[in-house]
Amino acid sequence: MPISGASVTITDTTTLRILNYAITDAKGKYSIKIVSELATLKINVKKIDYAFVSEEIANKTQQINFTLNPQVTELKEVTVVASPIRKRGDTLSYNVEAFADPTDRSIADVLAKMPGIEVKADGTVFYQGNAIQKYYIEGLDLLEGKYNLANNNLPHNAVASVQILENHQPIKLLDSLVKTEKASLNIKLKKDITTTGIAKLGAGLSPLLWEVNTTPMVFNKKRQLIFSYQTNNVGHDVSQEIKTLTIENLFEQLDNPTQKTDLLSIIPLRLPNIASNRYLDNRVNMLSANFLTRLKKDIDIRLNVSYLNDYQRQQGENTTEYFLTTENVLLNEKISNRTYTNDLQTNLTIEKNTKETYLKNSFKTQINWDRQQGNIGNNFENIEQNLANPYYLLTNQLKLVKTIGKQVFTIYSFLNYNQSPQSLTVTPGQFAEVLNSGQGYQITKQSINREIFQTNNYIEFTRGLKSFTLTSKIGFSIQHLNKESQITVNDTIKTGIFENRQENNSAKLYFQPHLSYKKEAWLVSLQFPIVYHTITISDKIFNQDQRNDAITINPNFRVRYEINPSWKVGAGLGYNNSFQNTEQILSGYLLNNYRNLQRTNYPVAQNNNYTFSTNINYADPVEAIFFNSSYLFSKIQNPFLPQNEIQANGTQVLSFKDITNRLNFHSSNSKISKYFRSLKTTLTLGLELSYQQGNQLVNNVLLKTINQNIKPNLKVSTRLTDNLSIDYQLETNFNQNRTTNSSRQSVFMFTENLKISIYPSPNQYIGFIFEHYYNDFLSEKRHNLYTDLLYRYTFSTKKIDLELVCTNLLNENKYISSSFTNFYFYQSAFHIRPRQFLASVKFNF
Amino acid sequence: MKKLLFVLFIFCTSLTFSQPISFDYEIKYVVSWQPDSLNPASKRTLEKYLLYINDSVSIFISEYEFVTDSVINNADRTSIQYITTLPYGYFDNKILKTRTSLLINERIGLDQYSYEDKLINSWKLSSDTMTIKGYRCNKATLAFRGRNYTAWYTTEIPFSDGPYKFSGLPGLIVSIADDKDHIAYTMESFRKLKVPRIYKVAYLKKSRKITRKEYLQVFDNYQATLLTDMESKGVIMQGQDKEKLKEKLKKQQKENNNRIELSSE
Repeated sequence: MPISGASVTITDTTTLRILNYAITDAKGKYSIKIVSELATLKINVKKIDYAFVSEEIANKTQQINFTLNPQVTELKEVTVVASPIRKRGDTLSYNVEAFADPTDRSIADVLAKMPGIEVKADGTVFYQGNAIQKYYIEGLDLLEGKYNLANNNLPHNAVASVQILENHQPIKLLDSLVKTEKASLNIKLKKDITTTGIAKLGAGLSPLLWEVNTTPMVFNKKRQLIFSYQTNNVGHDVSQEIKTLTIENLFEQLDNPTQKTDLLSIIPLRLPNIASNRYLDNRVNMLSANFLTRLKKDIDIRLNVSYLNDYQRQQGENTTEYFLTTENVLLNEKISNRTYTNDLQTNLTIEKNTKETYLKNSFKTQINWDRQQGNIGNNFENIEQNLANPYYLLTNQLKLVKTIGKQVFTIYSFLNYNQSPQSLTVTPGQFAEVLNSGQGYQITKQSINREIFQTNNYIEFTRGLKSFTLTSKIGFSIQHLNKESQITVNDTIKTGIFENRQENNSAKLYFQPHLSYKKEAWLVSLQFPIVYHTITISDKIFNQDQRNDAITINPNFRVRYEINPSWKVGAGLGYNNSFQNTEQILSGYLLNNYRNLQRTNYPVAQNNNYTFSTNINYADPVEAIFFNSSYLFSKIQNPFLPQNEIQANGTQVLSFKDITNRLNFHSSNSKISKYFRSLKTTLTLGLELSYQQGNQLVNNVLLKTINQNIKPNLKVSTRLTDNLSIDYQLETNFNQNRTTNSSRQSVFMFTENLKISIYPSPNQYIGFIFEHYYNDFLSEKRHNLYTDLLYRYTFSTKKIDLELVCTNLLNENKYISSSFTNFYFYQSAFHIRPRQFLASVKFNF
Repeated sequence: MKKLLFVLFIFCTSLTFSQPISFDYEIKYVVSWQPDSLNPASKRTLEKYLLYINDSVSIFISEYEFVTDSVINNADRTSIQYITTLPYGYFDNKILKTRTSLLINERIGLDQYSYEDKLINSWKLSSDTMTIKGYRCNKATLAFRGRNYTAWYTTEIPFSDGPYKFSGLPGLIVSIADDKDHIAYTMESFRKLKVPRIYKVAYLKKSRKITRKEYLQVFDNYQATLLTDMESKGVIMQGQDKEKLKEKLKKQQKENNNRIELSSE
């Protein structure tokens, strides 16, 4: 048997210097050419697990064959004793002083230099190529994932050492059950008490503008505090900063909404579809305090308190045209709104994390006393609206993790109580025909009080078998809802049909299995939730009760398949049967806003929704061509059809007719992009299509409405040199609306967006933004142009940012937007912020 | 036709590696790398890189990638969450060598690519010797794609192999570095495994088979379109933060300008 892979060397007989060599091929052959004056040479053949052969040969052209004898070869080994610091589950400690340079400021700057640690551009800290899961300060988790705040602002000279906890499982109970390769990071401070922070100050014209942000923090081994005060009138929406953004919390919101929803409103202006700092006319004050203390070992208490105070003004004009079968009704409104926000939120969290139990309980309260004032001048009169829309909330959320054997169970319980006692007054009085037998009058007042108590509880567990995973959730939810409302005309309370007293009780018992299969190119998922509902609505005014019991099953099936690395396809099929809008049922009238007197008097009903979707993706990274396309069809079937009665003065009454309402919706979205290497440019072309067909009852006439949109778009982005990049975007929209017996209406709009970024040196940035909006349906103003200029200078050694911004250079004063709905055309002109200059400086302290 | 033959070839190679491979010897290398060619201070020591060898085939792989692949290949499906927490290597290329072929697999962005390369056979032997880690080593030099390397190999370990794409000497490469000292591989340990290490080359199934020329093109495209790509994949970058993030990314790309292979020949 030929032996391949043996190394054959020719050496000097005395010095053993290697003159040339060969490795035997698959047939065991070799050939070696030697240029040497030596008379004799040595040939050596080595192969693992064969005995070493060596012999002296004459320096001449010859053929030498060898037979190797198997022999276990013991090679000399070198091993390294693993350094104790690298052991699993061990703690790695970095001395901060050893890594810090004079130019470093924050702990993030120093972290980036520690071996094994990397800080990405967005601030994410990686250890050994892997994002860290927890960022502790003295073992406490104050910021829950928003650690940028500490990492970028904590001076490195306050830190003694950085510890890496390898294979760290933050839930101690799961330590031996759920393996993790993830590391966590812990900051050890030098002093018992560390005080630090960041500040930003800005001022500008005109009118007088200010922007202040100061965020001091105090850390010690058992207590930590981050405090923030922010105020501005430059249009910066600071309420974003106190929002929770973690995925886990967003899912909880979907299941158990606790967000404030208003029952009454003043007529709003359509918010422009541009960056909010262009139009937001605000005067905001925000205070936020975050405090954490460790009571005993393994028990943490965290308190987050935030208070938001904001005064906002909106000004603009609305035009609404209703397409009726007889004649179209045109409504012009000049709107001036003021909103006063006052919102106080607290969140008290207790977390117990031991080997036996993981328990996290959050208790939240919210007190909100918002007010709004609106002034509308329409075709006929001037209308004052005053709204008081407070909201009070108490919720408690409990999560408990338990194990039985190796099976992990999650127990979840949610309790919520909230109240919205809201009122709207309108002067002069509206709906005289309905409310005051045709006589004009002074003032209409609508008041409503809604109380909700709800609870949701479930237990969840997961089982895996080869390529299958089954996750099941079993639980129940109960909701009790109380609504009382009344309309007052001048000082007279209207009774009967103009008041509501209603109790709404619903309960659900559910079992939600979710089976998924994943193997190689396939991913298949099937959800099959079974829900038993019981809903009771008791009307105390008319002494009517209605009760519904039903079981709904809403299967959902999805599949994804990778044909090859370039092509991927997917499809989904779903059916959804649900009780919708039971919360909106009201047998008496409600004045939602000054021109909408609404009665939603219909029985509890189920609606059916069928959806089908499919998508295809193509990627060729060699040619840099990427393509994707998706299609969605949905069909909704409602047992009732909304009936809009529009009156001559533009007011409307909404009720429901017992006619099955079918809505069909098709949409598709495609995009193709290509990168041109020679031009350093990416070109993207896209097309969005949508088609919607439905029915609408307007003044007792059944209208079939069709709305279609064709939206081609284009994007070019190029980086000509390292110092210059240009992005250009064009979006167009051809919108067409048809109703059964009126002519088609069509609108054409486009948006152009140009952005030029110049980097004259590493610490300077100049940005130029140009936006152009066009629409073809306005006679007076078809074009809107906005231009911004931004300059930033960073003192790299001191980490001070200096920024000069000029927004709305052309001093454009309005933003115009419009849309079609099924039966009306709506257009809104919003007064935006005038040209302004702002200079600001940001530093740490 | 040439391309078709090539694809066929790679297809056959993939078939060869479809079964788990058992390796008998493990060599660990310490890798030192300077990511910014203009800044010697950027030099850093990376994680360990492993060379697993048996009689006919070897694999060179980052220890992180090795752990990750092993876990994924043997995972029971309850631990999908766990898989997402696994680490990836600084250099994530995995290099399979046989006596006649060199197959490189690399992740760029979210996708895997594999390409065939030529085995190195242009070593120049030198008479210098040195003892490293107790092995008597001989010196050899090599000019390879824009860098001049000095390697020390030992015939005491009769494997014609080494780190990265380097092989073809009459013994194992114990240490190799380029003359600018941007990249250096030094053997830290060598041992025969008491229990053979089993590794399944599962990644080849998922990777795109391309040529080296195409690979270089993909790499360049990716560098240029990284930001656009991030945005199209749903990474949300807001307002002025977006500008700052872009600047930071730009800086980061600039600071990682170095590559092991400088020329595309």
